[in-house]
Amino acid sequence: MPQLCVKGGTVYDPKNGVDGEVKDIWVENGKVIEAPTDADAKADRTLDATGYVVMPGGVDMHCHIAGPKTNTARKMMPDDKRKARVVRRTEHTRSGTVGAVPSTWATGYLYAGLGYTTAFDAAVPPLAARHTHEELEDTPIIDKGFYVMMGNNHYVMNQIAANESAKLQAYVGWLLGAAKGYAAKLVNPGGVESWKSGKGNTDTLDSVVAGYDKLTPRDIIRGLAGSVDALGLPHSVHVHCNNLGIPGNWRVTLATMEALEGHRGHLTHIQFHSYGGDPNDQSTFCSEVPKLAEYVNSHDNLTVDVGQVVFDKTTSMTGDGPLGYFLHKVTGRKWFSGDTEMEAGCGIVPIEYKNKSLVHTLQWAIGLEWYLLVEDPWRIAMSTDHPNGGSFLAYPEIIALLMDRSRREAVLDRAPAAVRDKCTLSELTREYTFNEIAIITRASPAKILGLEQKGHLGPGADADITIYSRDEDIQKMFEMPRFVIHRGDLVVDDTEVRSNKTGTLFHVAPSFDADVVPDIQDWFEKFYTIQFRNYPIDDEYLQIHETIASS
Amino acid sequence: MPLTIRLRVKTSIPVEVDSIRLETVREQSSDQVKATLVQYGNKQVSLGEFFDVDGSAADDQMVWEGDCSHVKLIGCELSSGSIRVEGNAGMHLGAEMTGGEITVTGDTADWVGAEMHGGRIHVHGNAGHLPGAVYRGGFKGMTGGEILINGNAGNEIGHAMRRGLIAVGGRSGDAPGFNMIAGTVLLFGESGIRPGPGMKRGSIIFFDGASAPDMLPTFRRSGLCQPTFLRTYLLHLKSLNFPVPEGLLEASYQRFSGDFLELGKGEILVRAA
Repeated sequence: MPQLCVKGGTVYDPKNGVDGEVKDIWVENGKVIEAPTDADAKADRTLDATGYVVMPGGVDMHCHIAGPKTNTARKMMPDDKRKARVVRRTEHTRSGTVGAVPSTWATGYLYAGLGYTTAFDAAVPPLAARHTHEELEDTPIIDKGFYVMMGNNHYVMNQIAANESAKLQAYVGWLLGAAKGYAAKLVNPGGVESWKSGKGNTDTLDSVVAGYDKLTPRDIIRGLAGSVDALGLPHSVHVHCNNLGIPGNWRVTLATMEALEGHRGHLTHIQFHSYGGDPNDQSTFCSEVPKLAEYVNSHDNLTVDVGQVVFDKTTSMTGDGPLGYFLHKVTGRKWFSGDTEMEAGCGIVPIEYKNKSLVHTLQWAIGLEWYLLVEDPWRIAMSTDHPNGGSFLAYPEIIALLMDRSRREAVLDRAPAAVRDKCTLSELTREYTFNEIAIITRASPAKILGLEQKGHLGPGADADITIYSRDEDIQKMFEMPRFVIHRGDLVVDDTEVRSNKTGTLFHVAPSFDADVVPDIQDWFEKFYTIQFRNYPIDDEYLQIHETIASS
Repeated sequence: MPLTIRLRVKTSIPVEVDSIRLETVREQSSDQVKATLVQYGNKQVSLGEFFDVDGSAADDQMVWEGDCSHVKLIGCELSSGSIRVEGNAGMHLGAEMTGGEITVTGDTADWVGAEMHGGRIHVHGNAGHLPGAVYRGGFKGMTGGEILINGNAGNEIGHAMRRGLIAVGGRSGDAPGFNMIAGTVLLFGESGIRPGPGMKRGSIIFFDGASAPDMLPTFRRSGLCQPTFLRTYLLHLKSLNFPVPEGLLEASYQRFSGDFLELGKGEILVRAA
C-alpha cells in the first residue's frame, strides 16, 4: 500500500511526549510507521501540513449515537427535526439532519468533520445489541463500540445477592462476548430496578434494591468492578452514579468512589453527580466539585469524563429510567420511558439549557470546574454526554472555554450573579494548553479505554490524524479541521467530508468459565422473550471489527 | 400598483410558495419574482408557470388573486408589510409570521397562522382546522398576534397556543383551545364538543351561550361574572370591522375553571342568558 507523509506540521502527540514540535508523520497500511532514517526518502503521497496543527484523531468515550433510544429520540421530536440543519447529499456522502440527535449517517460525517475518528456509545441494553450493531455499521467513517448495561440486570443482581462471584464474573464475560460490547456499564445501579418495581429510586448506596432482601447499590458496584478487573477488560467498569441531577448527590458519588475499594473505575458525566444542597430545596443547590476532585486527584484507580452542559436545546437520553421521569416532572416536556425486560430501563425527555437559569449556569460551571480541578489531564476526558449535556458539536466551544479564562468570565458576567458564590469557577485561573487539550480529547480517553492504537501518533497507532489551521479564535479552529485522516484515508479534505467508508467496531471477547452457560440458558429460557440462541451476536454478523484483548 | 400575483393555471397538485417572501420581492422586478422557484408536488418550477405577476412590492404590499386554495404557505414567516388574498388561500397561510398583516377575502384551509408570533391575519370567509396551532409534536402554538375568522373554523382552534387572540365569528369545531398554555379564544357561533381539554391557562369564551357545548368533567363551575377585559377585546374587534353582535358588552358570563387534569388555571366563559 502506498505511503503517506504528513509533512512539516506542528505536532501535539502527548502520549509520545511530542508537544508542539515540527515533525513528519509517516503512514502505511492505515498505521503510523517509523519515519525512514534516510532523510531523502519520499512518500508516494505527501500532505503539506506546514503551519498547521497536527493531532491524533479525537476519541469520544461517552456519547449516545446508536440503538433504539436514539431512534426514539429522533421520532419523538419532529419539532426539533423540522427546524434542524440539513446535511445535503454530495458525490461522496448521504443526506441527513443535525438537530439534537443527528440522523445515523450524519452522525458519522459530523464526527469526522470535527476531527473525531472514534466514538463509543455508552448505554446499550444487551437485548438491543443487534440493533446497535446495525446502526453503528451505518454510522460512517468513525471507529466505534459500545458499553453494555449491567447495573440493573437481574442475573447480575441475583449472583451478587447470592455471593456467587465466580458465576458473576463468568456471566459478565459471556454477556460482553454475546453482545459484542466493549465495556461494562452501570447506570444508577439498583435504582432503575427499584423504580421499575414501583418502589421509587434508591437514595443511598445502602438502600436495599426492591425485590431483594439485602442487595444494595454498593454491592452491585463492588461486585461488577471486581468482575471487570478479574476479567482483565481493557476498560474499567463505567459508572453512571445513583441520584443523577439531584442536589446533594455528591455524597453518593463520593461513596461510589469509595465503594470501588481500589478497583479501577470510570465515573462518567461526573458533572451531573457533583451537586451540593438539599434535595428538597432548589435554592441550596451548589457545587461540590472541589471535594470530589480532591478525592479523584488522590486516588489513581479513578478516571472521569465530564458531561459538560452547554446552553442549547437538546435531549436527555438515559438508561436511568427514574431520571427521565424526574426530568419530565421538572420540565413538563414529553417523556419516553422504556423497560427492557430483565436488563435495563430508559428515559428520554427534551430539555433546553438556558444561560439565564441559575441551575443550568451552575451545571455549566460545575462541568468546567471538573476540567480545571483535576490535576492530571490523563485521568479526565472531554464529553458532553452527547446529547444529554449538549451535542458533541459543542466540543470546540468547550475547548475555547478551557483555553481562555476571559471567555469563561464573559459567560459568567451574563449569568445570574449567584453562580459565582455557589462554585469556585471564577477563582480558577488555569488555562489549558494545546498539549493538554490533545490529552483530554484524544490521548486520555484512548488510554482510559485501554485502546493502545488510538489517541497517539507513534508507530503502530491507527493513522487517525486531524490537521487544524491555526486561528485566533480557538473555537473556530477546532470546529473546522482542514484535513482529517482515518486509518490512512483522507476523509475530510479542505474541511469537506469526502468519504463514506465504514469504520471498525471494537469489542472484547473475554475468556470465561463456560460451565456457567447452561445456567444462563436455563435462566434465559424461563424469563426472556427471545430464544437463547438468537441472543448472542455472531462474528459473521459484524462488518469490519477488531477484538481488543483482555490482559 | 402593489405586486399582484394572479393564478393563471389552476392545479389540484399543491404549490408551495414559501420562497415568495415580501422581504425579498420588495427589491425585485416582476420578472425576477416570476422566475423564483416554488415547490410543485415533488418538483421545483418557477412561479411564472402558474401565475402572472405585475406591479411592485416596493410599498410593502402584495396581492394574491384567484382561487389559491391549493397554494400553500402564502405569507409564511412574514415580518412586516401587508398581504391581501383576493379569493381563497391554501394551508399554512401566515404560518410562523412575526409581524405585518394578511387579509383573505375568501376561505382558507388548515393551519392558518400556525406557530405565529405576531401580526394579524383576518379571514373574511371560513378557515380549516388548527388555526394558531402548534405543529404536530411541538411544544407551543402561536405565541402572539391575532387571527380573526369571520366565518367558520374547524377543530382544535389554538392547539397549545401560548399567547395572542383568535376570534371565530361563525361555527367552530371540536376541542377549541386543546392543550392551550395561555391566550384568548373568542367563539361567537355554535361550537363542537369538548372545549379546552388539557388547557393550563388562558380564556375560551362562548358568546352564543345557548349553543355552548357541555363542559368536560375536569372543569369546575366558578361563578357568574362580567369581565371588563371582554369589553376591551370586543371594542378592539369592532374597530377592525369584525362582526360583533349587539348586546355582548353588557352580558354576564358563567365561568368554569380548568382543566384540572393540568394546571387548572384556565377559564371558559359561557354567556349567560
